[in-house]
Amino acid sequence: MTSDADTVIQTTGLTKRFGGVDAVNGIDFQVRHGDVYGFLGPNGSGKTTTIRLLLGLISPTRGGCSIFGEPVLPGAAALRCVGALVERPAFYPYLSAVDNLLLYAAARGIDRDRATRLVGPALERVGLTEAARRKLAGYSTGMRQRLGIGTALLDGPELIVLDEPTNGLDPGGVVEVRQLIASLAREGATIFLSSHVLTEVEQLCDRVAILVRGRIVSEGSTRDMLGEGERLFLRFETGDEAGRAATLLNQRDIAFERLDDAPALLVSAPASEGARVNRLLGEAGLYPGELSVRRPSLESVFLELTGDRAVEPTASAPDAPAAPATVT
Amino acid sequence: MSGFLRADWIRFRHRRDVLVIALALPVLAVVGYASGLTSSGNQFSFDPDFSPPPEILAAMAAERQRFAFPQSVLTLLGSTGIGLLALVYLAVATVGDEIGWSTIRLSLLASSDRRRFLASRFVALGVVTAWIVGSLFVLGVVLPFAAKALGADLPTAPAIDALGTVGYVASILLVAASALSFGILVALLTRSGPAALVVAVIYTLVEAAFGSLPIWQRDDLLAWLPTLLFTTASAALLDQANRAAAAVRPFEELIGSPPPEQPLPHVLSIQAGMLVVLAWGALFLTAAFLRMRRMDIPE
Ligand SMILES: Nc1ncnc2c1ncn2[C@@H]1O[C@H](COP(=O)(O)OP(=O)(O)OP(=O)(O)O)[C@@H](O)[C@H]1O
Ligand SMILES: [Mg+2]
Repeated sequence: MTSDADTVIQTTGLTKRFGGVDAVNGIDFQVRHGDVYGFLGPNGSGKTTTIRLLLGLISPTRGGCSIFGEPVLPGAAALRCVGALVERPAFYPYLSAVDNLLLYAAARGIDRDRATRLVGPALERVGLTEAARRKLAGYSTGMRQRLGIGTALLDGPELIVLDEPTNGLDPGGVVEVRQLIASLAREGATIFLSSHVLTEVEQLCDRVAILVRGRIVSEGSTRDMLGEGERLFLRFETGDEAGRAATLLNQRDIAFERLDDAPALLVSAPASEGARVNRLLGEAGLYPGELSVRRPSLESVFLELTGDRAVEPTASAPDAPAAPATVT
Repeated sequence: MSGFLRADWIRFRHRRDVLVIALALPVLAVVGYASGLTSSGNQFSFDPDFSPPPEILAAMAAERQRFAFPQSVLTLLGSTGIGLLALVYLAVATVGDEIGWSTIRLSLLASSDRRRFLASRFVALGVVTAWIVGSLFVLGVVLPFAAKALGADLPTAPAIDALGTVGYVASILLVAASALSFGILVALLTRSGPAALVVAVIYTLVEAAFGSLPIWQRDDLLAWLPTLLFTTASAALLDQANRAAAAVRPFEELIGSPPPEQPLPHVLSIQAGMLVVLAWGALFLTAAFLRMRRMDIPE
């Protein structure tokens, strides 16, 4: 993997072993300037561990990582340009939200005047203005999470690392945070987002890595990852027509799957092949009543890769955005 | 580091235990002074006809002199014993809680310079130490005059040894710094405030038990070994330095009888004691910094 001025995060063979467990096992990835990079994986797959390694909170057993081209070591200057939320955010329970933020700003080397100017808008952005003077001991999980996000964004860092930011938030909060991330991305920040909420990643991230048991099993642009699983859905009037279409596709060595409960076929071909398949069928006098593109959701790709469950990208999947391509 | 210090100022200013200790110790010292002064004068007042033997009267007069200026300064500083325990508690609690609450992450995410984080905490605790020692010193100067103004009958006290007093204050600060380093190290090792407190107490007990093993008495050279232990050396140093500063004569001299024949106790000289305590402090602090540099923060 090459590294250049555009590279914000780079890991090489990054490995962390806890006792006998390889929490992170030789992972390589690269996050470039302006990326919104999704980091997915089931529970215990090593997302938080990777983030801790990236932030220098724990040291790797093997391999390493660099941020803005600088190796991550305690005291690395590059870490100053990073704002992060790691797992459940931790705050001083006996301090108010304002004081917690002022403390963070002070430790970050931000002078008092600038810190005072930053705190108000930061709290406002995460909807905590009214609770600003309340002690953290009395904060709910969601309020803490909001403050954690506010802290990560306090001084407009160049790289924002968010570990499951919408955890514990109410539906309104989830939408707000999603909009917040989108607006940060538009402003040009590089965002590394670990999440369980796949629709969120699908909507926000241009690149995705899927982590399973400490290894990256898939990495690439979100579009490519979803494009790979695209299929054409063909519905015919009768089972007989469907049977003839199946024979035809067999002859042309085009992979497909016949559905049991309907006179329909699922052809393993991307949307761009839709016209060709349609023409082929037309030449044989077969006109499907419906031809549409079935895109897998990130969820189905994720579940397939993580081996939790083989999920069929069917039309009934509620979050599978099925975009009709051509209808005859 | 000023940023971390400012952060520590926010932390400490709002921490109840820091405030309680910083305010309670001077108050306790005032109460101790007042009760000591009162009781030193009226031990026998319940029986006006009774006249105690002259050596007892001499001892009582000497005792009362401890509350008059300038001896009062040393008397007040002598109450730092509990202050030192309080400091170890503060070191252990403020560092242990950072890990226990995971708030150390907040600091290290703000700035990943772990050395500065620890150095700043050490300095912040040093400021609390200076406040405690300074306030006891000032009270030692002020209280005798206040007592006189309130009508207390104070004798004139013998002068204190200037150099000895400087040495005493230096010893207190040295012991305090080493105790802080000890507390910080234990907290980093145990990763929790309460656990660190328990370990610190157990360490002290184990050290005392270890130091009093009969094996040390077998040989004159071996007998020096326990005096090199951290708490033993610290306690001995404070005691010796206090005596040197007060320029006190032995009690036997006061009551006019020759000292009884007994083997010389094994006590380090003040200079040797300072070196030993300094060595322990440096060891604890170095270990704490190494631990901080290497340790994973999965909290
Ligand atoms: N401090 C630790 N000591 C021992 N094992 C650990 C430690 N931290 C993490 N692990 C192990 O490493 C693995 C990865 O954990 P990690 O927290 O990185 O997962 P995750 O992907 O963030 O999971 P989740 O989605 O539940 O947050 C798990 O098996 C976990 O048990
Ligand atoms: Mg996690």
